[in-house]
Amino acid sequence: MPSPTSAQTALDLLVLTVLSRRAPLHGYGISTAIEELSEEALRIEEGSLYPALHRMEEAGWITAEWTVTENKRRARIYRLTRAGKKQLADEIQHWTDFSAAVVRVLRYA
Amino acid sequence: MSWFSRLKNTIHPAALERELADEMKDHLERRVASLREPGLSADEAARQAALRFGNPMLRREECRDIRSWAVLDSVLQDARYGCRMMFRNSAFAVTAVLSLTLAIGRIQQFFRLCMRPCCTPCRCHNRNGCLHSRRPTSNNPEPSRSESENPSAIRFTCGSALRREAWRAWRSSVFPLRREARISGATAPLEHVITQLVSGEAFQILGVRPALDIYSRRRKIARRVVTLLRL
Repeated sequence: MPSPTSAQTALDLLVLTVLSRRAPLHGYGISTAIEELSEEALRIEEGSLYPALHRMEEAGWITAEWTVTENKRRARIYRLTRAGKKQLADEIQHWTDFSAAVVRVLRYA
Repeated sequence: MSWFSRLKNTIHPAALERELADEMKDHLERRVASLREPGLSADEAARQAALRFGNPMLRREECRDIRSWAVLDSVLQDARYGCRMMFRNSAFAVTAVLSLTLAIGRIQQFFRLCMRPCCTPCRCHNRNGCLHSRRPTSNNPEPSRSESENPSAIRFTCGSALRREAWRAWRSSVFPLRREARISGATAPLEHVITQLVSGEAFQILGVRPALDIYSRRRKIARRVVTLLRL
Protein backbone atom coordinates (compact mmCIF):
# COMPACT_ATOMS: atom_id res chain seq x y z
CA MET A 1 0.00 0.00 0.00
CA PRO A 2 1.66 3.24 -1.06
CA SER A 3 1.77 6.20 1.28
CA PRO A 4 -0.98 8.79 0.68
CA THR A 5 1.62 11.23 -0.62
CA SER A 6 3.70 8.89 -2.76
CA ALA A 7 4.23 9.42 -6.48
CA GLN A 8 2.13 6.35 -7.22
CA THR A 9 -0.81 7.77 -5.31
CA ALA A 10 -0.32 11.14 -6.98
CA LEU A 11 -0.43 9.47 -10.39
CA ASP A 12 -3.55 7.53 -9.38
CA LEU A 13 -5.15 10.76 -8.21
CA LEU A 14 -4.36 12.52 -11.47
CA VAL A 15 -5.57 9.65 -13.64
CA LEU A 16 -8.77 9.17 -11.67
CA THR A 17 -9.49 12.89 -11.74
CA VAL A 18 -8.98 13.12 -15.50
CA LEU A 19 -11.15 10.06 -16.05
CA SER A 20 -13.88 11.40 -13.77
CA ARG A 21 -14.19 14.55 -15.90
CA ARG A 22 -13.22 13.50 -19.42
CA ALA A 23 -13.95 9.78 -19.69
CA PRO A 24 -13.89 7.73 -21.82
CA LEU A 25 -10.21 8.24 -22.65
CA HIS A 26 -7.36 6.07 -23.92
CA GLY A 27 -3.89 6.07 -22.35
CA TYR A 28 -2.52 8.66 -24.72
CA GLY A 29 -5.53 10.91 -24.06
CA ILE A 30 -5.01 10.64 -20.32
CA SER A 31 -1.32 11.57 -20.53
CA THR A 32 -1.96 14.54 -22.85
CA ALA A 33 -4.84 15.71 -20.64
CA ILE A 34 -2.57 15.70 -17.57
CA GLU A 35 0.08 17.62 -19.49
CA GLU A 36 -2.37 20.17 -20.86
CA LEU A 37 -4.20 20.75 -17.59
CA SER A 38 -0.93 21.22 -15.70
CA GLU A 39 0.36 23.51 -18.49
CA GLU A 40 3.18 21.03 -19.06
CA ALA A 41 4.38 21.35 -15.47
CA LEU A 42 3.57 17.66 -14.93
CA ARG A 43 4.97 15.33 -17.53
CA ILE A 44 4.70 11.68 -16.65
CA GLU A 45 6.88 9.06 -18.27
CA GLU A 46 4.22 7.81 -20.64
CA GLY A 47 5.16 4.15 -20.33
CA SER A 48 4.64 4.20 -16.56
CA LEU A 49 1.02 5.19 -17.11
CA TYR A 50 0.09 1.73 -18.40
CA PRO A 51 1.13 -0.34 -15.37
CA ALA A 52 -0.78 2.20 -13.27
CA LEU A 53 -3.87 1.87 -15.49
CA HIS A 54 -3.73 -1.93 -15.36
CA ARG A 55 -3.22 -1.84 -11.61
CA MET A 56 -6.25 0.40 -11.19
CA GLU A 57 -8.26 -1.85 -13.49
CA GLU A 58 -7.21 -4.81 -11.36
CA ALA A 59 -8.34 -2.93 -8.26
CA GLY A 60 -11.72 -2.32 -9.90
CA TRP A 61 -11.42 1.47 -9.97
CA ILE A 62 -11.59 1.70 -13.76
CA THR A 63 -12.84 -0.48 -16.60
CA ALA A 64 -11.35 -0.83 -20.05
CA GLU A 65 -12.66 -1.90 -23.43
CA TRP A 66 -11.39 -1.96 -26.97
CA THR A 67 -13.27 0.38 -29.33
CA VAL A 68 -12.77 2.03 -32.69
CA THR A 69 -12.27 5.77 -32.33
CA GLU A 70 -13.58 8.51 -34.61
CA ASN A 71 -10.48 8.36 -36.82
CA LYS A 72 -10.95 4.58 -37.38
CA ARG A 73 -8.24 3.53 -34.97
CA ARG A 74 -8.55 0.74 -32.44
CA ALA A 75 -7.99 2.01 -28.94
CA ARG A 76 -8.39 0.70 -25.43
CA ILE A 77 -10.48 3.24 -23.59
CA TYR A 78 -10.89 3.58 -19.85
CA ARG A 79 -13.85 4.58 -17.70
CA LEU A 80 -14.22 5.26 -14.01
CA THR A 81 -16.27 2.81 -11.94
CA ARG A 82 -18.26 3.47 -8.81
CA ALA A 83 -15.40 2.07 -6.71
CA GLY A 84 -13.08 4.42 -8.60
CA LYS A 85 -15.24 7.41 -7.69
CA LYS A 86 -15.08 6.42 -4.04
CA GLN A 87 -11.32 5.94 -4.26
CA LEU A 88 -10.98 9.33 -5.94
CA ALA A 89 -12.93 10.99 -3.13
CA ASP A 90 -10.66 9.31 -0.55
CA GLU A 91 -7.50 10.33 -2.36
CA ILE A 92 -8.67 13.91 -2.80
CA GLN A 93 -9.32 14.01 0.94
CA HIS A 94 -5.83 12.60 1.69
CA TRP A 95 -4.23 15.05 -0.69
CA THR A 96 -6.14 18.03 0.70
CA ASP A 97 -5.15 17.12 4.27
CA PHE A 98 -1.52 16.65 3.26
CA SER A 99 -1.27 19.91 1.32
CA ALA A 100 -3.05 21.84 4.09
CA ALA A 101 -0.53 20.47 6.60
CA VAL A 102 2.39 21.54 4.39
CA VAL A 103 0.87 24.99 3.94
CA ARG A 104 0.48 25.37 7.71
CA VAL A 105 4.15 24.50 8.24
CA LEU A 106 5.26 26.90 5.51
CA ARG A 107 3.15 29.70 6.91
CA TYR A 108 3.81 29.36 10.63
CA ALA A 109 7.29 27.85 10.89
CA MET B 1 -10.67 -8.37 -13.16
CA SER B 2 -11.75 -11.86 -12.26
CA TRP B 3 -9.46 -14.66 -11.16
CA PHE B 4 -10.59 -16.55 -14.24
CA SER B 5 -9.21 -13.91 -16.61
CA ARG B 6 -5.96 -13.83 -14.66
CA LEU B 7 -5.71 -17.60 -14.89
CA LYS B 8 -6.44 -17.41 -18.61
CA ASN B 9 -3.77 -14.74 -19.04
CA THR B 10 -1.29 -16.91 -17.16
CA ILE B 11 -1.94 -20.08 -19.12
CA HIS B 12 -2.35 -18.42 -22.53
CA PRO B 13 -0.27 -15.25 -22.34
CA ALA B 14 -0.18 -14.69 -26.10
CA ALA B 15 -3.51 -12.82 -26.23
CA LEU B 16 -2.51 -10.57 -23.34
CA GLU B 17 0.89 -9.93 -24.95
CA ARG B 18 -0.80 -8.93 -28.19
CA GLU B 19 -3.24 -6.67 -26.38
CA LEU B 20 -0.48 -4.91 -24.44
CA ALA B 21 1.68 -4.55 -27.54
CA ASP B 22 -1.27 -3.11 -29.51
CA GLU B 23 -2.12 -0.64 -26.77
CA MET B 24 1.44 0.66 -26.43
CA LYS B 25 1.96 0.72 -30.19
CA ASP B 26 -1.21 2.80 -30.55
CA HIS B 27 0.09 5.22 -27.92
CA LEU B 28 3.45 5.58 -29.68
CA GLU B 29 1.80 6.11 -33.07
CA ARG B 30 -0.43 8.82 -31.66
CA ARG B 31 2.56 10.52 -30.05
CA VAL B 32 4.59 10.33 -33.26
CA ALA B 33 1.67 11.86 -35.19
CA SER B 34 1.36 14.71 -32.66
CA LEU B 35 5.11 15.38 -32.77
CA ARG B 36 5.11 15.45 -36.56
CA GLU B 37 2.44 18.17 -36.63
CA PRO B 38 4.87 21.01 -35.81
CA GLY B 39 7.16 19.74 -38.57
CA LEU B 40 9.50 17.16 -37.04
CA SER B 41 10.84 14.46 -39.34
CA ALA B 42 9.42 10.96 -38.96
CA ASP B 43 12.66 9.58 -37.52
CA GLU B 44 13.08 12.40 -35.03
CA ALA B 45 9.43 12.17 -33.97
CA ALA B 46 9.77 8.40 -33.47
CA ARG B 47 12.95 8.93 -31.44
CA GLN B 48 11.34 11.55 -29.20
CA ALA B 49 8.21 9.46 -28.75
CA ALA B 50 10.32 6.46 -27.72
CA LEU B 51 12.26 8.64 -25.27
CA ARG B 52 9.08 9.92 -23.70
CA PHE B 53 7.59 6.47 -23.46
CA GLY B 54 10.52 4.70 -21.82
CA ASN B 55 11.29 1.01 -22.16
CA PRO B 56 8.18 -0.66 -23.64
CA MET B 57 9.44 -4.18 -22.85
CA LEU B 58 9.75 -3.31 -19.19
CA ARG B 59 6.30 -1.72 -19.14
CA ARG B 60 4.75 -4.72 -20.86
CA GLU B 61 6.35 -6.99 -18.30
CA GLU B 62 4.98 -4.87 -15.43
CA CYS B 63 1.49 -4.96 -16.96
CA ARG B 64 1.75 -8.71 -17.52
CA ASP B 65 2.69 -9.23 -13.86
CA ILE B 66 -0.36 -7.24 -12.81
CA ARG B 67 -2.81 -9.00 -15.10
CA SER B 68 -1.63 -12.55 -14.53
CA TRP B 69 -0.41 -14.63 -11.62
CA ALA B 70 3.32 -14.05 -11.63
CA VAL B 71 4.03 -16.93 -9.26
CA LEU B 72 2.02 -19.42 -11.31
CA ASP B 73 3.57 -18.07 -14.47
CA SER B 74 7.05 -18.59 -13.07
CA VAL B 75 6.17 -22.11 -11.89
CA LEU B 76 4.81 -22.98 -15.34
CA GLN B 77 7.93 -21.61 -17.00
CA ASP B 78 10.15 -23.63 -14.67
CA ALA B 79 8.05 -26.76 -15.27
CA ARG B 80 8.28 -26.33 -19.04
CA TYR B 81 12.01 -25.77 -18.82
CA GLY B 82 12.43 -28.78 -16.53
CA CYS B 83 10.46 -31.04 -18.88
CA ARG B 84 12.49 -29.87 -21.85
CA MET B 85 15.76 -30.54 -20.04
CA MET B 86 14.54 -33.91 -18.80
CA PHE B 87 13.63 -35.12 -22.26
CA ARG B 88 16.86 -33.76 -23.67
CA ASN B 89 19.05 -35.66 -21.21
CA SER B 90 16.93 -38.49 -19.84
CA ALA B 91 19.79 -40.55 -18.32
CA PHE B 92 20.89 -37.63 -16.15
CA ALA B 93 17.28 -36.90 -15.19
CA VAL B 94 16.64 -40.50 -14.07
CA THR B 95 19.84 -40.51 -12.01
CA ALA B 96 18.97 -37.19 -10.37
CA VAL B 97 15.41 -38.30 -9.55
CA LEU B 98 16.60 -41.59 -8.06
CA SER B 99 19.28 -39.84 -5.97
CA LEU B 100 16.78 -37.33 -4.66
CA THR B 101 14.27 -40.06 -3.86
CA LEU B 102 16.81 -42.03 -1.87
CA ALA B 103 18.06 -38.93 -0.06
CA ILE B 104 14.56 -37.78 0.85
CA GLY B 105 13.71 -41.27 2.09
CA ARG B 106 16.79 -41.41 4.29
CA ILE B 107 16.17 -37.95 5.73
CA GLN B 108 12.56 -38.82 6.46
CA GLN B 109 13.68 -41.99 8.24
CA PHE B 110 16.23 -40.04 10.27
CA PHE B 111 13.68 -37.46 11.37
CA ARG B 112 11.14 -40.14 12.18
CA LEU B 113 13.62 -41.76 14.56
CA CYS B 114 14.99 -38.54 16.10
CA MET B 115 11.92 -36.35 16.29
CA ARG B 116 9.33 -38.89 17.35
CA PRO B 117 9.85 -38.45 21.10
CA CYS B 118 9.43 -34.66 20.82
CA CYS B 119 6.70 -34.43 18.26
CA THR B 120 4.29 -37.08 19.36
CA PRO B 121 0.89 -35.41 19.30
CA CYS B 122 -1.37 -35.77 22.28
CA ARG B 123 -4.85 -37.23 22.18
CA CYS B 124 -6.99 -34.85 24.10
CA HIS B 125 -10.67 -34.06 23.88
CA ASN B 126 -10.21 -30.73 22.15
CA ARG B 127 -8.88 -31.59 18.71
CA ASN B 128 -9.21 -28.08 17.26
CA GLY B 129 -6.71 -26.38 19.50
CA CYS B 130 -2.94 -26.37 19.58
CA LEU B 131 0.00 -26.94 21.85
CA HIS B 132 0.47 -23.79 23.90
CA SER B 133 2.31 -22.62 26.93
CA ARG B 134 0.08 -20.31 28.82
CA ARG B 135 1.19 -16.82 29.83
CA PRO B 136 -0.85 -13.88 31.04
CA THR B 137 -1.22 -10.81 28.83
CA SER B 138 -1.92 -7.24 29.87
CA ASN B 139 -5.57 -7.64 28.88
CA ASN B 140 -6.10 -10.72 30.93
CA PRO B 141 -5.52 -11.36 34.58
CA GLU B 142 -2.95 -13.75 35.97
CA PRO B 143 -4.14 -17.31 36.07
CA SER B 144 -5.38 -18.32 39.47
CA ARG B 145 -2.86 -19.61 41.97
CA SER B 146 -4.20 -23.10 41.97
CA GLU B 147 -4.20 -23.08 38.21
CA SER B 148 -0.59 -21.86 37.86
CA GLU B 149 0.68 -24.36 40.39
CA ASN B 150 -1.21 -27.18 38.91
CA PRO B 151 0.51 -28.81 35.93
CA SER B 152 -2.87 -29.03 34.25
CA ALA B 153 -2.65 -25.25 33.68
CA ILE B 154 -0.58 -26.23 30.66
CA ARG B 155 -3.21 -27.22 28.16
CA PHE B 156 -2.38 -29.80 25.55
CA THR B 157 -4.45 -29.77 22.46
CA CYS B 158 -3.86 -30.96 18.97
CA GLY B 159 -5.31 -30.83 15.47
CA SER B 160 -5.00 -28.26 12.73
CA ALA B 161 -3.51 -25.62 15.02
CA LEU B 162 -0.74 -28.04 16.03
CA ARG B 163 0.18 -28.39 12.38
CA ARG B 164 0.17 -24.61 12.13
CA GLU B 165 2.52 -24.38 15.12
CA ALA B 166 4.79 -27.03 13.59
CA TRP B 167 4.88 -25.02 10.37
CA ARG B 168 5.83 -21.89 12.34
CA ALA B 169 8.53 -23.78 14.22
CA TRP B 170 9.94 -25.10 10.96
CA ARG B 171 9.87 -21.64 9.45
CA SER B 172 11.68 -20.11 12.42
CA SER B 173 14.34 -22.82 12.20
CA VAL B 174 14.85 -22.23 8.48
CA PHE B 175 14.79 -18.45 8.85
CA PRO B 176 16.42 -18.01 12.25
CA LEU B 177 16.66 -14.22 12.04
CA ARG B 178 12.98 -13.80 11.31
CA ARG B 179 11.04 -13.12 14.45
CA GLU B 180 7.37 -13.48 14.83
CA ALA B 181 4.99 -12.86 17.65
CA ARG B 182 1.36 -13.85 17.64
CA ILE B 183 -1.34 -13.06 20.10
CA SER B 184 -4.15 -15.52 20.11
CA GLY B 185 -7.21 -14.41 18.18
CA ALA B 186 -10.89 -14.95 18.76
CA THR B 187 -10.72 -18.52 17.49
CA ALA B 188 -7.97 -19.58 19.86
CA PRO B 189 -9.10 -21.95 22.55
CA LEU B 190 -7.50 -20.00 25.40
CA GLU B 191 -8.13 -16.33 25.97
CA HIS B 192 -4.75 -15.39 27.39
CA VAL B 193 -2.30 -17.31 25.29
CA ILE B 194 0.77 -15.76 23.77
CA THR B 195 2.82 -17.79 21.36
CA GLN B 196 6.12 -16.26 20.47
CA LEU B 197 8.52 -17.72 17.94
CA VAL B 198 12.00 -16.31 18.26
CA SER B 199 15.42 -17.09 16.87
CA GLY B 200 17.95 -19.32 18.59
CA GLU B 201 19.86 -16.49 20.21
CA ALA B 202 16.75 -15.17 21.96
CA PHE B 203 17.79 -16.81 25.22
CA GLN B 204 21.15 -15.03 25.09
CA ILE B 205 19.52 -11.70 24.23
CA LEU B 206 17.02 -12.01 27.05
CA GLY B 207 19.65 -13.37 29.42
CA VAL B 208 17.43 -16.29 30.36
CA ARG B 209 18.40 -19.90 30.62
CA PRO B 210 16.09 -22.22 28.74
CA ALA B 211 14.51 -24.97 30.77
CA LEU B 212 13.16 -28.22 29.48
CA ASP B 213 10.02 -29.32 31.24
CA ILE B 214 8.57 -32.74 30.77
CA TYR B 215 4.99 -33.34 31.75
CA SER B 216 3.80 -36.86 31.77
CA ARG B 217 0.03 -36.97 31.56
CA ARG B 218 -0.38 -40.66 31.42
CA ARG B 219 -3.85 -40.76 32.78
CA LYS B 220 -5.62 -37.76 31.39
CA ILE B 221 -4.01 -37.44 27.98
CA ALA B 222 -4.19 -40.97 26.77
CA ARG B 223 -0.77 -42.04 28.04
CA ARG B 224 1.21 -39.63 25.95
CA VAL B 225 4.36 -37.73 26.91
CA VAL B 226 4.49 -34.15 25.73
CA THR B 227 7.67 -32.10 25.91
CA LEU B 228 7.53 -28.35 26.21
CA LEU B 229 10.46 -25.99 25.93
CA ARG B 230 9.59 -22.84 27.78
CA LEU B 231 11.19 -19.80 29.34
